[in-house]
Amino acid sequence: MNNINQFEKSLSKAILMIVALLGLLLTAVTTGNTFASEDTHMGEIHVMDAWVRAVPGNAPATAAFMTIGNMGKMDDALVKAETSLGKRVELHLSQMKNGMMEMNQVAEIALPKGGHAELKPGGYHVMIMGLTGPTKPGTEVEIKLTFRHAPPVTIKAVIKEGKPMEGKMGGGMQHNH
Amino acid sequence: MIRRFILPALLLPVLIFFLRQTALASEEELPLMTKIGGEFTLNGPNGKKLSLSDFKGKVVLLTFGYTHCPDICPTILVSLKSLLAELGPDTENFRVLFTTVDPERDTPELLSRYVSHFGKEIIGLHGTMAEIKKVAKMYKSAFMKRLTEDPEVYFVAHTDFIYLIDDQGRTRAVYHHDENVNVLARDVRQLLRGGTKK
Repeated sequence: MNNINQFEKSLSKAILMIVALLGLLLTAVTTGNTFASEDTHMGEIHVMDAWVRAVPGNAPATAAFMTIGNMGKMDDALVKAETSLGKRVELHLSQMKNGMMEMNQVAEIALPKGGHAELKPGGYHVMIMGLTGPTKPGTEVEIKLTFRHAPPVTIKAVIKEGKPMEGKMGGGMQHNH
Repeated sequence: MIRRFILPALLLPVLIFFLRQTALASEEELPLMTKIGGEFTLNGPNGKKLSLSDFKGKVVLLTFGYTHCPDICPTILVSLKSLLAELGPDTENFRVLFTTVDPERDTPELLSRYVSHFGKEIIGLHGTMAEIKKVAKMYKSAFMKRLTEDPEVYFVAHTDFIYLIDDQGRTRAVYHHDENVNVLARDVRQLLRGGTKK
């Protein structure tokens, strides 16, 4: 029975992988144009899929996420973000430390040449505190990004609620029974 | 030659379907996690005392967080919102308890309005720092105030556990904040169906 379960588990994993890959491929094909129009391409810096998390009306803070590519020949870094949505905007990193999710301000987010930085939930993000207005899903907000070398870029980030998580961290606490 | 492969190829999806059904039917019963959790009393919305035992007969998810948390806590709440949608009418016997780890800034009103935005089944719990620390300790959760250079700004580092508690107040599973919603729904349903250890 265990063997069948094992086999079934790996089989369904493999099938899930294939379905996921096909899904990704389809998404890429069908939404390729939309992505292109949403991209902000300013010289060597490329900002993709920028979004701000919609939070309840009375929430004190939110965060912005995006992928920043560096097509240049030189290592660069995001050193500052500004938006009128918050009174205080900082670059932050969420990470697991001693079993606790901790969020700390960082001086910069590295953009290696030919590489990219992913700002995503549970990792690097632009922390927006002291919200000056509502975060209405579907609306857009401007964010000015300043880099160490490349000229500043102002991008438009769409406000949305974000997707539920898919369990990338693996199992929970060890069962102790 | 080709014909030899057609039949197995056609049968494979059927086989997979039946194997899946078997796996679902023989789904492992969630264990009793006797060393984690227990009865507690905190303040619910409007300052009303709420105990875990008040939810007897309901399946509960318990988590810790705070409203100034812009990343992990909304991520948990968006997942819980999606879980509530997935559970549909089953939410009648299901509640989420979101306990603040920042009682200083999270007033009961702020907390309540914040969490109920994600679903009316989500209840914000509040208390003194000592009361909340005690509950966190029982559940092996932890949190710690993290000051910044600016005296007006601080954050709270906290464990990201979500606890699944059965209709008799017993902890049955613990997840991280990014657990797949389908896994949460599957386990909640198991307990709602009466997957209760006697």
